[in-house]
Amino acid sequence: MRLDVTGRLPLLKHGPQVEDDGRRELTIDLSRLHFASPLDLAAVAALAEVAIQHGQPVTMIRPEDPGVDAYVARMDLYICLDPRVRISGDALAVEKSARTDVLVEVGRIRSAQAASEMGERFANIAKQQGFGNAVPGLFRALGELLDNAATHGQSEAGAFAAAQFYTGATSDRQGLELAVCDTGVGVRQHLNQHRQRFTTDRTALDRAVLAPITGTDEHGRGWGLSDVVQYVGAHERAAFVIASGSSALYTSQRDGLISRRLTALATPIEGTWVWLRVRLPMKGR
Amino acid sequence: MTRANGAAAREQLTQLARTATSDDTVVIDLSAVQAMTYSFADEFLGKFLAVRDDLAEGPGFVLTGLAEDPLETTQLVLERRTLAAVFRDVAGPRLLTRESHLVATYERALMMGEFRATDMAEQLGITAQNVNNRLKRLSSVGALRRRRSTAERGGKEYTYQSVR
Repeated sequence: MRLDVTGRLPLLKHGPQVEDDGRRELTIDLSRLHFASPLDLAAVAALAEVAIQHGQPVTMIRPEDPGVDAYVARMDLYICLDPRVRISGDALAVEKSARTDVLVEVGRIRSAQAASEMGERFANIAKQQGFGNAVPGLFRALGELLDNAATHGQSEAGAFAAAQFYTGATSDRQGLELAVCDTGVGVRQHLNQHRQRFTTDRTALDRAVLAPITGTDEHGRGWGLSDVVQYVGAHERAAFVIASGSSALYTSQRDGLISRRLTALATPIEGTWVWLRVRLPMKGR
Repeated sequence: MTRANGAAAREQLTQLARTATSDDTVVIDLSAVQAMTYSFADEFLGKFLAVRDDLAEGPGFVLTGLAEDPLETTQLVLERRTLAAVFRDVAGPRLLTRESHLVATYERALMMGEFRATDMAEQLGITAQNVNNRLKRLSSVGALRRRRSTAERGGKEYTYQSVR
């Protein structure tokens, strides 16, 4: 099996496209990767982990571009992988300066405590980058995503999360992006645990972002995803992606208009991936 | 953040509440909290207040120190669970809830000192059954202190006093 992670933001834009090359081993080829978002990195970690947990050998081919390879290494992707993942190429010596003001390296979440610590780090970036009064609202939104991964997305592999603040100086991207990729049962199966009977991932995702709906039998639960989508709707140029099973939902807000799109994934995801982008508040707001 | 942390905080609060008497007021000081996720607040406060019917003759509960954002989150939890809670800041105590009839009852209670249900019914111009429903709800969230007493003609009745 082979996954080509090629170009700019491949997994964020298109989801995984795993092809059958006749081999049992999963090869994750980053050699032609040009630009990786937090989702691309966290998702690669999650995909590798799922394969390993299923007893599938995994080989990861490093990016050919030294700058991209250095970034991937700087984001700790290689060191957070299961040691059984074979990484091709020579290890790069990466000078790692503390950049808690702009990034959160790929990290594994296996507990509520780990989720809380990751959330604190995300919020810290927002504070240091001048999100000001917008920080608590952002903390609430990302907190729900992290909590979902820690609560509903648990598996032996856990979840992976990462974040990056882009100034926009060297790319056309500006804002804080964060991603959480869990390897749990996925949205549809979670919701179907109690009363719900969704037959497709598409309908489950579509409904999951409306409130309230929960896969637990507890009253008052199930507001998390809808609150995140509401948050996106209230913030200019914010965007949110949730992918689970064979479907992905993209939602964003621009100039007061909210766009929403459900797409089918070429390769179904085991678990749930989420990605949130927020822009710096405009001056005076 | 996280429901698990909220559950742990709720357990601590529950243990504290069990040691308090009906004369006590448990003050939940959240001044150190800059932000709360909805899940945490719901697990911590929402669930705690939702199961307090059995503690209706227990201590009072007051929230303090809520900054703007945690206050907003708390209000959202209370609204979604159809609950109420007393919040005290520099302006004094007030009832956090969207239900205006409960706010009116609590504000009247603040002025009345100790009272019986019939007193409140007369003050508000509503029926005894209506006022009893309101007083029961306010007692169950620790906004009113409720004590058993003996009625003038014998039998039992309750007296109430606001928690502030």
